[in-house]
Amino acid sequence: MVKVEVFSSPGCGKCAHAKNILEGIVKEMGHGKISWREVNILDEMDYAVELGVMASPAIAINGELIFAELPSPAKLRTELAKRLA
Amino acid sequence: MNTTLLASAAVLGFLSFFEPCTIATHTLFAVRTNQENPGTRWRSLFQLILSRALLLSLIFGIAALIGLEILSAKLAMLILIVTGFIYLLTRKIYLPVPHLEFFRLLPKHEHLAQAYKLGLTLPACTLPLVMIIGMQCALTQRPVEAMLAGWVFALMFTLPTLWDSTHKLTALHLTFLGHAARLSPYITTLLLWSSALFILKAGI
Repeated sequence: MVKVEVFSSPGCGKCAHAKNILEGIVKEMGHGKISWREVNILDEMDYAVELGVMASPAIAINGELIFAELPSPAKLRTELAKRLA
Repeated sequence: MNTTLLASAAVLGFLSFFEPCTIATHTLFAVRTNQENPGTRWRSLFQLILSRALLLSLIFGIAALIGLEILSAKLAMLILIVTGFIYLLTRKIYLPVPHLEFFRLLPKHEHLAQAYKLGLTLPACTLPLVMIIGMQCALTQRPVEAMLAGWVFALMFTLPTLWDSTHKLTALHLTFLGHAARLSPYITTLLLWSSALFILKAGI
């Protein structure tokens, strides 16, 4: 199971867009393979700092910061497929 | 001295920090900076303020040099009303407006300190606010005052980061920032529409 975390901030439109992209990809790849959660940076500031998050949205996979900014759906899909292979 | 211009720059600059696309980035920067030794911390804060102030004073100075002979009250109101609507719209729809990362124009920008990168970036959600001050600067046609407005905007934009960098952030403070981020687009809209109403009553 691949664990994805989307680092977002309240009211951030780009973060909501990142979540929509991820939701679409998770559906596409089939449930049960990818679990994901939203991390509110302001609620989990220490964790965001620890992972090296600099801006919102950012995406971590399996506890490692992979995308420091919003990736394209293709890039995210490729990265997740690589982890699932 | 154009007090309306400077007051607007101060208010909109301060509001810029609380916009949803900037608040987390700046708070992350503040928390990181807070963990540094005092020398490094103050150097980073100085770099942030200086780079942002230079960028904004340059933009506003150029706007004043280009100048705008006349802006009718109707057009000014229209701009404010439409900008307010854009802020409301972003609550429902994602507008793919990129941040303007001016630091990418510099050679070897990959190695720039984070403070410079942050200072030389105009976040997407602050662009309408910068545009409003830019138009005011163009109307004054006074480059020195416009550049001063740039410094005021930059200082007020950076002020909360300065505070957060030098204080330990409590859970209560972070909760406040979360609420502020959710509310700020509505406050911005209200402020812009109030300004439009003011122009309707008092003229430009």
